[in-house]
Amino acid sequence: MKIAINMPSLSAKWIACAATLLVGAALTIPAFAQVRVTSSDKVIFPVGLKWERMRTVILDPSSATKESPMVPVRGEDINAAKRIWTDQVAAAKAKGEPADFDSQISTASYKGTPLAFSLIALPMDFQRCEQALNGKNVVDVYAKCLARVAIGNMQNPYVVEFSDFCYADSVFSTPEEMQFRAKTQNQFAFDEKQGVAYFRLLQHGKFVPACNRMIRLEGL
Amino acid sequence: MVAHTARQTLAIFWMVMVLIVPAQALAANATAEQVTAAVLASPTASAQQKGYSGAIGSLAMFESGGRLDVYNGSCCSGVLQMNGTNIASIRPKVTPAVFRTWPLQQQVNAWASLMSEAITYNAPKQLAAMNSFDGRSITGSMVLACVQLGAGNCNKMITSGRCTGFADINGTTICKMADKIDGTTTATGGGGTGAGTGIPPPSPVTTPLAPATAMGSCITNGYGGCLSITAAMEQGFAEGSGHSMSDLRNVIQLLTVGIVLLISAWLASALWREYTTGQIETVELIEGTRNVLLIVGAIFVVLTVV
Repeated sequence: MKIAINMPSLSAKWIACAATLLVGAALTIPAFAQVRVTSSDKVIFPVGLKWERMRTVILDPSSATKESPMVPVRGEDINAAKRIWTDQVAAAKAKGEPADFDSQISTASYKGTPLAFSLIALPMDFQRCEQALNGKNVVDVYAKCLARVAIGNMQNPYVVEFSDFCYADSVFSTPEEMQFRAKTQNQFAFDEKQGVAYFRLLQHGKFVPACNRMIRLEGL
Repeated sequence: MVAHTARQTLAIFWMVMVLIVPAQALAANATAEQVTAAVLASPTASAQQKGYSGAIGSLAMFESGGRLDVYNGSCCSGVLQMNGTNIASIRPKVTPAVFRTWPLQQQVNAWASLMSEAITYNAPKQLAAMNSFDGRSITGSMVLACVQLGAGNCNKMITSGRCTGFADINGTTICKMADKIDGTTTATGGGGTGAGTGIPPPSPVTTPLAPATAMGSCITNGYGGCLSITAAMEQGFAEGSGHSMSDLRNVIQLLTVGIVLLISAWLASALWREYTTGQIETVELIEGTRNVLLIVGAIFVVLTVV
């Protein structure tokens, strides 16, 4: 007896099964989990990088005062930073404190995937951050704290964290502070060919080699 | 008439200068005792900080000489020389310029709020728990110096087991800074640490330390290093006033130049007005202009020489 196999029917079942597995996998495995993101402080900046000042983000603009107006901040940057630092915002709220951390952000795109790189200053976190030194003999204004990379749609990005990134910024727009901002700033550049983000710090008009960093993305 | 106006103006100029100098001298100052009292009264200071209140008073004298409005020219402001980045963490937000106008209690509250956290973490906590380090007793000043110079740097020192494990750009170690705060010198190098061993710490050799002690033909900087008389005067002035002599000289010169230019412009405009309304002749205009230029020139020559 010859058994006739209904091929189209079997194929459809296999395809349906595979599709279900794929959807299941897509739901359980985080998107971009295959992406390898690494950071290093051993950096040689390639020539031709287009440097930009990282944009200031105030996660809680309500902390502004009339006497000290804040620098302009983009709404989309606030939304992205809130997503990136959502755990910090939640932790502050849990303690009943305002989530008014200072943060900076730069955005880029690599192989069609949106990327956001953000730095934060957490002045009361002595575990993960190295605070700026106090004292008459101190010259440096920067703290060392966290950096995060958000990969993909900013509504639900895949986030990777790094520590030991220099942070110096001023959120005020008084004449004195604008002078400070002009000479002291976190700068960012992205090499679209290599998928590498570069960071450097300008302090008092001079670059601080100890603050040079890079973040490399592989597998996108 | 112009000469008369010029005389009046010069008199006003010197009066302004006479008023400016004492105003600088009378700038807001606090004593070590007042800083200590402010720490004890601070609602943000921890019990540990209150225990160190005396040392914090001495720290304030070391950092600023008690000046509330002092800026070190690069990062740090106020009586305890808080970094601008740390000032940015104060809520509601405040600029460093406004921070420098704050009264003592407010500055101490802000510093205590930040440092009460810092003092409980890793390196300062570890140091505070030790009986001795590198042959010297652990004092409040040493823990404060550890916090002030940075927990990371303090950790470097602890890991090395020696006071010399970390020094700032001026060669100041945490141990040396503690000595400066206390106004003493303490022998180090007794060997290793005594972290909670219960062994009595070696007795430190403590001697009074003058800011600049004449030792033969050499004026020392308090650490045994020789200083020239000029350098010693510079250092003493900076310790006392929170400003370098050259900075102060530049400020005074700039102020003088500004005032002289303003007065000259005012005199020149008065002359021109009188000339255009026919009150003086061309000859008088030229003579008046020459007088103004002579005054300006003389003042600039004096400034250049001084």
